[in-house]
Parts: sequence; structure tokens; C-alpha cells
Amino acid sequence: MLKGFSSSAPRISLEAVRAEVDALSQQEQKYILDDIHGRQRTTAVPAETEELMNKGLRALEECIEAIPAYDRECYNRAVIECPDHASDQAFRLRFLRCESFDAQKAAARLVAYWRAKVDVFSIEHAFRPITLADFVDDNDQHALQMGGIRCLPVKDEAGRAIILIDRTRFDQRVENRKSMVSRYIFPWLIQIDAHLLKLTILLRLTNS
Amino acid sequence: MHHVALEDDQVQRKGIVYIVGFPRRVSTLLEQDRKFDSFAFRHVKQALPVHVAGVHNFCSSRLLEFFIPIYLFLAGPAIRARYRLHMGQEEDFLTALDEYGIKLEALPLDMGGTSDFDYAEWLEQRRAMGR
Repeated sequence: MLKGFSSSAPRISLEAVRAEVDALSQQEQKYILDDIHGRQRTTAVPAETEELMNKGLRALEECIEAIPAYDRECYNRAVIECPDHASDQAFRLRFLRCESFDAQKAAARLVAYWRAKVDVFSIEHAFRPITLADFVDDNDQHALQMGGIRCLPVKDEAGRAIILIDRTRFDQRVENRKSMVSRYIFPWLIQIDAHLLKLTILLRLTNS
Repeated sequence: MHHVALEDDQVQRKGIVYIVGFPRRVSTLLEQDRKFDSFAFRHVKQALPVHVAGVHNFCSSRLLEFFIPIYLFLAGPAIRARYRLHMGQEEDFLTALDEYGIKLEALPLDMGGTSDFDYAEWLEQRRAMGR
């Protein structure tokens, strides 16, 4: 809904991204290429053994303890309110796998996960499993049924999940814009922003 | 949807590929939403146990190209290094996806693939299973 855009929003061009990748080491570049093409990641991902998992889980616990208490308030609460879930090894392994068994990064992500869950679902609902039955609100139902974000049932050749993002199926109804500000001021912002956009494009074309 | 994908251990190890937009359903200027994108990127980058293996973005309009550098900034270095921009016709897009290991059999009919995945039915099944 063209929300939050401005002609001065921070940006990075495709050329700058290419330069950013070129500046990486050969090994990092190979890792990224293997990743995109779904080839077996030969670098950075360790072979998953029982020993690695146990060692990783212990290191994860230590790294979480090292995070300042005020930063892991939501995590601490999760451990008390839903210990079966928060301390579940399979659940914790997800974070380790995602960070190639770097316990420090996995700990930061795990703590951020609980903070984000509280932000999104509120403190009353964050510490229990969230299922489709929790989305009872009309807007949530509508958004779910539209299928703007779909996880496809068939994996790609490398066994990776495919998530399809289709903006044309996002909920565009005015009543779903959350704040009064966006509901009433937004149409004006669109007009102003569209003018700015045209002006910026014209200036760029003129300068090129 | 991320949690659905992460139910599979292999996906936890190998990651998720995102397809953003496709030729049959081209988004318009008014459907761009930086607030949503900022929220989504923040959670994927920092909080969800997700490894982003690749992002394939189909863009058919010069005007929408204006927004790509904004998305790339929001995405952060790890995700934008795995970003690929696709343009052209549907056939070109599907061929390009195939080269990245995303076959027609995995893609739904509404984007030119051969999978008859019924999203509404899938949603009902998940609901009935209490998930």
C-alpha cells in the first residue's frame, strides 16, 4: 500500500551489492553461490553428529546466560511459562542449525525470537503454541485466506522449502490499515509521495 | 509460514528460498509496503530460526525497480548477497528458477508450474489438525 516510502528512504543499488559481494573472501563467495544454487554447502556448515549437537546445545545455554538479563527478559519468562517448548532440544537446534552451529549467534537469535513473539502476539499469548485457531479476527482470517504468503508443499531440488510472496494477494482494504493516522492521512501521503517519486525520476533522467 | 517450513529438519539445515512476485500476478505501485517489508526483514534477519538460501524477485516494471534498492537496504548484507532480480517473460523466469533448482513440479499452477496445490484446502487441513 505504498506505506512508509519516501524518496529519501535509505537504499543500496544492485551495483553496490555486487561490489559488496566481490569484497568478500573467495570462500564466502563460494558459500553464497552454493547456497543460492542449492548445491551442498561445502564450507561453513559442519557435519551434524550427536557430539556436535550436544556440544552446540551446551554452548548455546552458556551464551544465553552471558546475555544481559534485561535483554533476555522475554526468554527467561518463556523458560518459566512454557519450559517444554522453550527448553525443548529440537526447538533449540533450529536456532543452531540456522546459524551453522555458531552458539553465540544462535543465542542472540533465540533471545530475539522470544522478544519478537511477545511483540507480535502480546505477553498473554506468546508463551503457548500459536495455531491457526488463534487467528479469529476477521482481518487475520481474510489475510490468511488470501494466501499472500504461501509455503509450497513441494521442496526444491536441494530439499529447501519454497515460500511464495504474492503482494497482489496482500490485504489492501483500507479498514485494515492499523492506525487512524494511516487511515486518514495516508491517502494524502500517497499523493505527495507519488509526486516526489515522479520528480525524483524526472531529475534522475535529466541528470543521466 | 516459516514455522510450517521449519517443521522439516532438512529445511532447518538447508534453508528457505523465497519467490517474490511472478509474471501472472504483477504487483502494482500501491501494493508496495515498506513498513511490512521492514517488519518482515527484521524478524527473518534477527529472530526467526531461518536460513535464507535465496531470494528470487520478479519485477516487470521500471517504476517498481525504483523500490528494489530500498528493499535491498532493508534486507541486510547476508540476504541481499543471495538476491536475484528477474525480468522478462514467464518462460524466462521459470527457466531461470529451474537453473536455481526450483522445478516446475514445485510451483503452483497459478504461477505457471505444474503442482496442483490447493492452498485453501491445505489451510483447512492444518486447522483440522489443530496446527
